Amino acid sequence: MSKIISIHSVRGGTGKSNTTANVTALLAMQGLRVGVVDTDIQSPGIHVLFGLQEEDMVHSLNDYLWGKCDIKQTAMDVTKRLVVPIKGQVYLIPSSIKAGEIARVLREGYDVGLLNDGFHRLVEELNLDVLMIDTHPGLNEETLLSIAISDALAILMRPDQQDYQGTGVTVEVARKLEVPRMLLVVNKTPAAFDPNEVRARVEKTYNCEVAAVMPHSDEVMTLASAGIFSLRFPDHAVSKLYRQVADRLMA
Amino acid sequence: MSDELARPGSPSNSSAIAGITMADVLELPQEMRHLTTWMMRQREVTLAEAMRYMGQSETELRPALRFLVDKGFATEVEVDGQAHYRIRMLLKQNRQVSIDLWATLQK
Repeated sequence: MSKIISIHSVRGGTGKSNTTANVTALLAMQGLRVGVVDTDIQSPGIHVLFGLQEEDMVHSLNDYLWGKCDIKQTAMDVTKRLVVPIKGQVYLIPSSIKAGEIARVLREGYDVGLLNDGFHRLVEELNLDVLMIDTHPGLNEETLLSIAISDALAILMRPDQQDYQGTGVTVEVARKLEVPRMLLVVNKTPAAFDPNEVRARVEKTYNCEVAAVMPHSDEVMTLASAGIFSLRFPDHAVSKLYRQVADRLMA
Repeated sequence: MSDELARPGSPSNSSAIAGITMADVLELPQEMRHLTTWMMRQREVTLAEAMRYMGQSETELRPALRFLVDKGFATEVEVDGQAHYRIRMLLKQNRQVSIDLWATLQK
């Protein structure tokens, strides 16, 4: 039974794409066939983590949404680009990074129903075990759709007052949309904070399981999205926490 | 399903453009939203599958599916003599931004 998993945050810069890429890679390491879709059409970025440049992209999600190609044609097998041998398979569906194409999507819009069809067809045609959706921050039509059709949702937040308030709204909306499994991930937690206290406070505030309290990490910052952290540093404490997030999402 | 849901055509979504927005989904009554979000996750469902999921008889469930179809929120197609239902999303509205800005971005 395949799963659709969305990784969301109410504000930008929470580490959404990094978390999506790490969970994707860790699931593929277990032998699963994983697709990852960059639905952050306005500010795409996850392709960087998989080592993709603009010239590597033949088709993008934008092309599919404009009817220029089939959704399967946008999927790039990036398994061999990862730094370690992977038992499973990783397919990336990138969004265009051309300014004109981003502008066109913003200007003309697109049929959101196509996204839903596209997600399901990717699962079927690529025989995926998991489809990961890296969403645009905040709540809009596309992110609500991604949340609604997900079997599992991880909402990322930082221990920050603005994130606390916004996350509350997202949790409420996800509950209304009856997402079967919802988890919170607290990211970039300062070393001065006790992770157990943070977990307890967040779980009590939202009445929702916290999959992991991730520390702010200089090592992650130093890698600067030039690769997938948990593959480069599998024994690092942060990698163990990414593994924990992946396990909880698949539970 | 309530009698109210069996009567299509309330003004909020009776426009010529058919389809449902996520805002519409959030505003549906709980039971109808429960059905709609499940249908979205399944992509396409039969009446029998919907009956099993909702734990309702055909008589109980038909008005809800009729409501979704009449409002343009779902499409109904017959496959091998069996009704299949699929949620239909509304075409996204364009964002209003100055034409000059788009022209500059496309250069």
